[in-house]
Amino acid sequence: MNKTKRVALDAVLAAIALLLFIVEAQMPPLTSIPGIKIGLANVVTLFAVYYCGKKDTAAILFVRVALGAIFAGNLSTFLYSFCGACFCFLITCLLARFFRKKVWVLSVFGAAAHNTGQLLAASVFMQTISVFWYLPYLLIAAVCSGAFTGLCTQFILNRIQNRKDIGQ
Amino acid sequence: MKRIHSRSPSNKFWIAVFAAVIVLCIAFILLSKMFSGHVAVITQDGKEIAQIDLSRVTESYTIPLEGNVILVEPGAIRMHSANCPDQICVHQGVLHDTGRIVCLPNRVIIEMKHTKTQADAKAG
Repeated sequence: MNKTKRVALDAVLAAIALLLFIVEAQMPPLTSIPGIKIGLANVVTLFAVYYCGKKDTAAILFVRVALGAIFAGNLSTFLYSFCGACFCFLITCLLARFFRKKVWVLSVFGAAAHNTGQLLAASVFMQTISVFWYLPYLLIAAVCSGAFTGLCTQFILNRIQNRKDIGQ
Repeated sequence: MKRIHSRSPSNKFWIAVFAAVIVLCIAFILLSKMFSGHVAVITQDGKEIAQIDLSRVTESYTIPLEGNVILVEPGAIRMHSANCPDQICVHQGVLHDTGRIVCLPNRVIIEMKHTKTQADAKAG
């Protein structure tokens, strides 16, 4: 993939991720517990890890989190999603090569890391560790939503690989 | 496909692992609900100020403390206001059956417990 194509692809992926993030933020919360959502934007992150490489993924993720906070949030949501995204990215990159054929497993680990990162941010931000009482709720949510987004990514990757015209 | 990747654990293995995680989490949630309960214990400076059985509260009322105002409602308790600039305890929201609200500047703790205790020495 040449440089121009790469930049264009990254930009498109960042735009898709941002759109998913904003649309999801408009939906009513699924539960009364803050922080539980499907995490559709993670589909793009996972896809990028395999399709574009880690450096590009980091760029896409940062652009999405920063612009997402501008369009659909505020400073505190930025802090939370930034910490969550960092944890999620680290775990995803570390484990990516083990789960090429099982993206849903990777996605669950990423989602769990994301939620743990958010709780860490919340505990520092609110200066209390009592937020960790939410961890079991968030872990259950991470398994469900992570499996879903991971399966989505798996399907996309399988489709893309069978099409040479989109091009590596 | 399956034969090539037979070295890594199968999908079934991971499904079992994640199912176990979910079961453990649910067990933990249920246990923590069992061991906490309807009694809100309010302490300031490590001294117990009040124990309120939230299931017996029928009308909302406030408890003014030094620096904070606590709002007691049927089945719920929350910090209504605080004189500190950051308002962390106010933003911690409502307690129903688990958890605690901590106000660091005024050293106030609201904690949910299962039953009423006689002069619990735990200062939190």
